[in-house]
Amino acid sequence: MNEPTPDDDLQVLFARQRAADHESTSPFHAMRTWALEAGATASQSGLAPGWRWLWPTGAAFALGIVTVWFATHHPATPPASSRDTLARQLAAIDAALQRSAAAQRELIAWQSPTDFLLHPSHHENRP
Amino acid sequence: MEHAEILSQLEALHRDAFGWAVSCCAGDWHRGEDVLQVAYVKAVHGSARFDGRSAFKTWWFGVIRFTALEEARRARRWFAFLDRWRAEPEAPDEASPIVEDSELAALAIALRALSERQREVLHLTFYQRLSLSEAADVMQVTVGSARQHYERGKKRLREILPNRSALHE
Repeated sequence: MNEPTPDDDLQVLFARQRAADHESTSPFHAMRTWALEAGATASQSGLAPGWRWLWPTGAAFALGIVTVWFATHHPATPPASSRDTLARQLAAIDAALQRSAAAQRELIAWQSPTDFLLHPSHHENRP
Repeated sequence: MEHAEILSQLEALHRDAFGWAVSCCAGDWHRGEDVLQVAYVKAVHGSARFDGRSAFKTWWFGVIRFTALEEARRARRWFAFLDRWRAEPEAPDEASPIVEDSELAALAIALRALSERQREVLHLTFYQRLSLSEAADVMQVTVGSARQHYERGKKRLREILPNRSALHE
């Protein structure tokens, strides 16, 4: 006669659980059919799982080529050399000086509207 | 192994595999069913190949376990994404058939309170009647680690389960 082991209670409980589960398990054939159909759909697409990245990779590659083509055929403004920078600075200084000289000329030519009052008139000088 | 032979083995193991898939999904029947479906697709179309290095059942249960982990990871990412748009996260759907047997209902609740490893090893040894070595193979841990989870899981399960004395009688 077999002696009961300390785990017999759990054995019994799990065996009951197993029997109850087996009664409500979905049938194998339905699940197998679904799996076969799912595989058929995948094979109809003509792409193995390893090739599923083909389109995104190709698209990214094409985008890269287009970007490089644009960069080479439509160059952006080339970076200014130090000589160009110096020339631009000199031109700016020259323009500023010209503006300043013009302003100075205007200032010299300016005459107050009441300036004639300060000069003696001919009538007053007459004896 | 021939395709027909694989299908025959899968059919023979179907019920046990279903129980294992549900266990890998913490008792959620709908998710367990989905996981088993995906595992069948892998087995039928060769993305999971049996190489004969272990018993077929051990290999198959390893495939189901891995698939369940993959699905759980995907679901977590999806729910994390949804939670960004939701004010209050919904409670997880713990779909399972109505258990009329109160002891079985208590067992299901108690198993959810265990760690994933403990739940796995107890299911594999008591429900599937695998040896600890086979269970360790499925779980991809050492036998020593599996034994530790087994002992702790049993202890914890006995603490949680009500009417333990009734079970012993």
